[in-house]
Amino acid sequence: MKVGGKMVYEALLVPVWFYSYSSVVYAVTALVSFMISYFSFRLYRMSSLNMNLMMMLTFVFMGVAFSILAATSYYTYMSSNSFKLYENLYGVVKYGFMGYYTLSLVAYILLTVMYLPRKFREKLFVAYMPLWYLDFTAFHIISAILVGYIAIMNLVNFMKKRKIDSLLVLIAFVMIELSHVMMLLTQFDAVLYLVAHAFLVAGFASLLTMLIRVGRK
Amino acid sequence: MIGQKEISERTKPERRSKASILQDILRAIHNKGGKARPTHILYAANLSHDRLKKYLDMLVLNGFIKKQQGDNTYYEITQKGLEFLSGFNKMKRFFDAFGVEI
Repeated sequence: MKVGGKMVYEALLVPVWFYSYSSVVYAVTALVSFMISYFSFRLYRMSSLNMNLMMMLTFVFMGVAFSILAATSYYTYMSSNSFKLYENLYGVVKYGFMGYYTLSLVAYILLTVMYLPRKFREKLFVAYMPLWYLDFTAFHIISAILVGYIAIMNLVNFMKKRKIDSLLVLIAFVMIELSHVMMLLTQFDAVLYLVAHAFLVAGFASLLTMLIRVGRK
Repeated sequence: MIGQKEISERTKPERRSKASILQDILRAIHNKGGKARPTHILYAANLSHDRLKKYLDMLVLNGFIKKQQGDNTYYEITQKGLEFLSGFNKMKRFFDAFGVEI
């Protein structure tokens, strides 16, 4: 089914019924992101250290991005039952996905900057990216590169520390990386879209477990 | 063959993060009953005079400690400073999990 424009085509690549499930997946990942950002905010208020502020902003951007995606997915699902909603589907999907792509990349860039050596980090890191040109493929390729770098840095961290908390963060970023790779492969098999969502949930479940462990002690 | 520079790189102690230095200073003041002189803090936190001054100014500015000037200068830990000390381990674990230096 092609309503018009590439984005809508991409959005309708999978069966419409799955959008009700995917909106729940995105809502859960948004919730976990907001929980991490709130934890970072509390640490920032307590310590006044800029890294806490950066971590908070990263997960706020991620949370808002996933909230937008949850709303877009839910709208797509609802539009299958209503002609009135279906009429506006193109605009909602276009701006919904654009918002998700932009905010997610900002979050990933912030996170990548945190892993850069201090001497690079302290000089302002300016990344020029033609965000208005982002489409499904470009977004997932750039995300896979950035998250891949973060996952490698987490692997190095785990090899050094050998702690469960660092293992959980490593698992989380490997899962998020796999979800982006699976999304890229969706054009070959729509089932991979479901697999990508399973990886995404597993990744955020791992982050949530780490947060509970750290927050408890 | 391992070069001299590489040996010294391997054996040199790990550089303390900014947060660890702040914690060491606050702990030094706290262990002295909540009020300490700069000389005591200098030795307890193992810092040079210039670096100590920089960090003390930062802590005063952020409200973690108060400077008391009379015949002698003292630094007193505040409620915010005590909260930093109790929450530091949680923060350290959080950033250690991510492998990010604070």
